[in-house]
Amino acid sequence: MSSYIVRFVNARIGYNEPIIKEITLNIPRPSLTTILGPNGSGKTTLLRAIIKYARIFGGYAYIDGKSIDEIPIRDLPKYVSYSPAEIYSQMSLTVLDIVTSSRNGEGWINKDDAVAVLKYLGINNIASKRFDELSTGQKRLVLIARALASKASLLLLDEPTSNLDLSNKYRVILTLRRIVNDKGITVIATGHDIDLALISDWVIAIRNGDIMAMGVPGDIINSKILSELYDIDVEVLEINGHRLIYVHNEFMND
Amino acid sequence: MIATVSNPIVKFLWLFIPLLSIGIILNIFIGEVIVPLGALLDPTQAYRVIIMDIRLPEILACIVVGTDLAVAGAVMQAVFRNPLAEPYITGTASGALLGALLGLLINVLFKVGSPSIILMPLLSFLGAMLATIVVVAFGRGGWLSLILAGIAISIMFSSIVMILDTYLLTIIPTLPAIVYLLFGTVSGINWGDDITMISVSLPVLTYIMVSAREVNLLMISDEVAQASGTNPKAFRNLLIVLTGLLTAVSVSFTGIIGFIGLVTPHLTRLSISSSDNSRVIPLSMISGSTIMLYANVVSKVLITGTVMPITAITSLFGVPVLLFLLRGGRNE
Repeated sequence: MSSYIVRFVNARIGYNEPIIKEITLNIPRPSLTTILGPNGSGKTTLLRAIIKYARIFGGYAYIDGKSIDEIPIRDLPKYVSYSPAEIYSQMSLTVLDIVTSSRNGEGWINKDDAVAVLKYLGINNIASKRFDELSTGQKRLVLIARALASKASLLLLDEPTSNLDLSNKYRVILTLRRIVNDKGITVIATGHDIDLALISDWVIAIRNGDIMAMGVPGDIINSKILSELYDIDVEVLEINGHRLIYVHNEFMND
Repeated sequence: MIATVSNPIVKFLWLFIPLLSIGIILNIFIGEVIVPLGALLDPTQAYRVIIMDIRLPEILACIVVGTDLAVAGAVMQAVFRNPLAEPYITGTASGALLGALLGLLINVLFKVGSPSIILMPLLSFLGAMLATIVVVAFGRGGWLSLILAGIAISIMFSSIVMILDTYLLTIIPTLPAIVYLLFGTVSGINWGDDITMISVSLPVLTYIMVSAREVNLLMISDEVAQASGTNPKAFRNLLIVLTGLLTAVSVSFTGIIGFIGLVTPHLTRLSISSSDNSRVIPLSMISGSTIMLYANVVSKVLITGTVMPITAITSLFGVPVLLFLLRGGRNE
């Protein structure tokens, strides 16, 4: 078993043309890995490359030591599961419908497994509710439950903490940390969330389709890298062992 | 848990199975000639012919067309993630009609004869595909633009149909089939037509039923579908072809019958409070057949001795549903 769940070697990734140029990266297993970067930097494209939804133009990409090219789409559930930030649907699927509309390596998720996952995340009380009537925080947890139900050892989550209030955001962050610790699987999440990055095992900073920095959060979340990443004057402070960030601007008198 | 899931389905079946049965019985007795109850016990030759060779083939056609259009609608709504999609609104049916009329024209001009049984549905299918491809190409801009492109294509194809129709009537003034196709009706359907319709529909419907959960995946998101092992583009294209087949089969034998594909899946979803296609698709077959049977009864009784176009009746209660959905769609 490879010690890296995902590897890219000199990979160029995009849709009609490459957006990500020649990246090389390893994502350790098990880990909670956060991909940070400004909008349009290629974070989502990187996730999509792992599910073959974005094209790899050159170089190599591996899941679990196996070349992504050699994995047919129908076998993807054996390796990976994916959760988008939002699902846009005018059709009223229930929470249980959403979670059972998912495949693991063997076949469709059965109802017992779906209920067990909802219970594990503490949301089994909303199992028969309509998905489109849930709060954003609940929706996010349901999409995480759906990904988790497939029992793949790699979960890809696109912006799992965006548009959430403070308490829901922490609920999602702590849930992700708990999943990785309990199940020994790898979660790769994209986003802009410094708190999620700080609680992660591995952080990758992407800018303009290129890796700017990669490492443990202690090495990445600092004033220099964040300022360069987001092109704004960011200060990282340490208070009682916690890192906090603030942004210098003309309205702050410092 | 099991009780809460199965209850709405049981209720649905308790409502629709008796309705369906009554619909079948009504269609046996009611028509241009009213078959008296006593004729069932001691049928004269004339009544036997009416029941066996006219009414029963029509009833079977109602069931097949109701099923095909309802399933085509349910699948299109999922494929396009659009609650208003259905063969009539997306222009698919108007393409199928043009194809069927071309088949008829070729048949009349070249006296093709028996192969026309295949020629009409085949050209109808090609017409359905052409219309759908054009609508999909121009209707990418959101859920309303698909509908607008569908309306535009429908209008264009209807114009061509009118021109073709006028031309056909000048060649053969007494050609009744044109009226059938334009208005939508099951009268004149024979067992042979039924067998052709069923032999195309059955494999398609079976495949769609087996793949109902994959249809759910398309409804959720393309990336989610792909990560769950279903290639969204390939599966979507396959479903568009299959709904084209279902539409072509219906249109080439019974003409334009609007709104069954729109109303039925929504009615089913509403009554079982779920959009899960593994339940909505099979149940819509039952409700679609039921609606078609009653629409056919109404088309026969409005004016005694005359058969009204079925599409006039289905549209009459279909359009309010469309308007209702449009109003709801604005809040999304």
